[in-house]
Amino acid sequence: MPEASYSPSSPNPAGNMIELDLDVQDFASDWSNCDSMSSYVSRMVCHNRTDSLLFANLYSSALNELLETAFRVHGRTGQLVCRFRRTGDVDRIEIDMPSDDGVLSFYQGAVDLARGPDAQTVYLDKLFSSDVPDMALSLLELSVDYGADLSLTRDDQAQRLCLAAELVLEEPKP
Amino acid sequence: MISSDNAQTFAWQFNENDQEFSLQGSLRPQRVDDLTGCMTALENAVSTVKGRFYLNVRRLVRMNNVAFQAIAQKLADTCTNRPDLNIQITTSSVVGWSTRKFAALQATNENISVSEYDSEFYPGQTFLEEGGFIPILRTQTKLTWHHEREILRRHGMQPGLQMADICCGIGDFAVLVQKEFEPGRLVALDHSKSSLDYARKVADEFGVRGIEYVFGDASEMLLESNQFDFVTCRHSLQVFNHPEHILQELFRICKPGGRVYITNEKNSHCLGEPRSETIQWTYNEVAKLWAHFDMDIEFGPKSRRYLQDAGFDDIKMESFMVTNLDGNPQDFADIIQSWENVYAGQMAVERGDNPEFIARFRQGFQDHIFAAKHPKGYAGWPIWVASARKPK
Repeated sequence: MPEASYSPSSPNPAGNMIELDLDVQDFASDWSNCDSMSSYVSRMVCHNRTDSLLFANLYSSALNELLETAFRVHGRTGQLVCRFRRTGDVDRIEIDMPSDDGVLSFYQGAVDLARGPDAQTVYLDKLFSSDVPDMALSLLELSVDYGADLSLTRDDQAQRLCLAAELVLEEPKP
Repeated sequence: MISSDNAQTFAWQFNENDQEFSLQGSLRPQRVDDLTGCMTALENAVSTVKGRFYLNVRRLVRMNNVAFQAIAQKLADTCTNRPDLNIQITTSSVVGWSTRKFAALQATNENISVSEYDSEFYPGQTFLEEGGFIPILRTQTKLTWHHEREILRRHGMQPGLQMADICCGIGDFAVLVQKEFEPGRLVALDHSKSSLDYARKVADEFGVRGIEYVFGDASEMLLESNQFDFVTCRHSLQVFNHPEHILQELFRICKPGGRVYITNEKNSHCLGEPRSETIQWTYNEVAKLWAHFDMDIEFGPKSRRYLQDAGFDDIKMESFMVTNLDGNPQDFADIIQSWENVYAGQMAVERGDNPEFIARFRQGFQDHIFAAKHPKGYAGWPIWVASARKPK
């Protein structure tokens, strides 16, 4: 993965639609937070899409996988900040979370796999492995099934990382 | 486990007769253990079937990877242990993600196939979509709107409501409602992608904003329950072979205290003077022809019974007659000509009617057009309106 510097969002960047900011421990205290947040945000951002219902379903599914991954793998204390942006047909989801070496290592490895040339093969291998569910599966699926462009930026000093997924969920208008 | 009506609830059901295991709702467990009941039911279901096993995920709206991996592995194990079984997974194009996701199973197991349920949802869909019907629908709406813009008010339509137009077709009614009533939200749903494309294009061209045109099956909508104040479904129950299924869904998405508004026809009551007898004969035959294709063009006056049976109260009902005097008689004539083209030119032919019958059948339409355009003539097309309240 190419090196990138950590660049938290400016207060009102172009295309910013919604930002959710919550304590990571509160977030990780209840699994249903993932479903609630993905359902809420998808409903908010779908209304002006070509097919709002279809878009909301796809957006919710993709976002839920990101949130479930963050639920399982995150640093111990700090804020979880989720930013939802749109530029043209590209939706960008940023999950900005506290991190440590283990967390960073996981996300670095998962994003590298998802961006790699064998993502499809790795995805199928992990899907049918008899081990416990692999935590990288969600990010692989986003890349393989949703064509998501995943990237990672980090701030070692603040011990934070930002996982970003850029998605095009609608076919271009005829 | 029998389903609840809420799309956010997860449920499963096994139909032994059809060897079909259905999953529906939202399935996002934290752990595989959370699925124990479902997985046991799936395992039991598989153990009782022979030949082909159907997994129906058409109404599975959401599913995370924990659930998918558990089900995928169960199906893969089944393929290994039961090589005699063929597993057919049915997904829905409406849901969006499911076909791609389940396709991974098809890619790795030759005994698993995935098909997307996107076929005709009602018997006459092919006739209506491919019969040159779309242009004439605009004329029909123009003539019915002449009456309905006032009728809608009597049935509770007012500005600011959360509204859904189910089976919106080419969306022109939704555009007229948006302009006239300015609802707070307007969702227009149909299962014809070509009609929806047309609807979006027209709304865009006319600068009408705020209508959410969505693709979906009216009998299995993915819209959430209890969210609309006013739900319309016009000229559609009559084309479904199970209108009660649609009404259940209209009931479900309507808020308690909200109203469902339906319009339907009774084609045998179409009339005209002069030449009333041949006109009457043809429209009686239209009713029989539709019945042959499991559609009920005589549905209009049955609306009250269907609404009561679906659980509604405070039923209001009235009828109106679109006539050649509503505007340009040529508009009326154009509608009748399109009916002749589809009913006599396609449906009667497909039923296998002989040329003599078809010629007589056509004559009634031509006589109706004659009556419409006659300087002293009168031609009518009756429509029944009914609305009812979902109890609080």
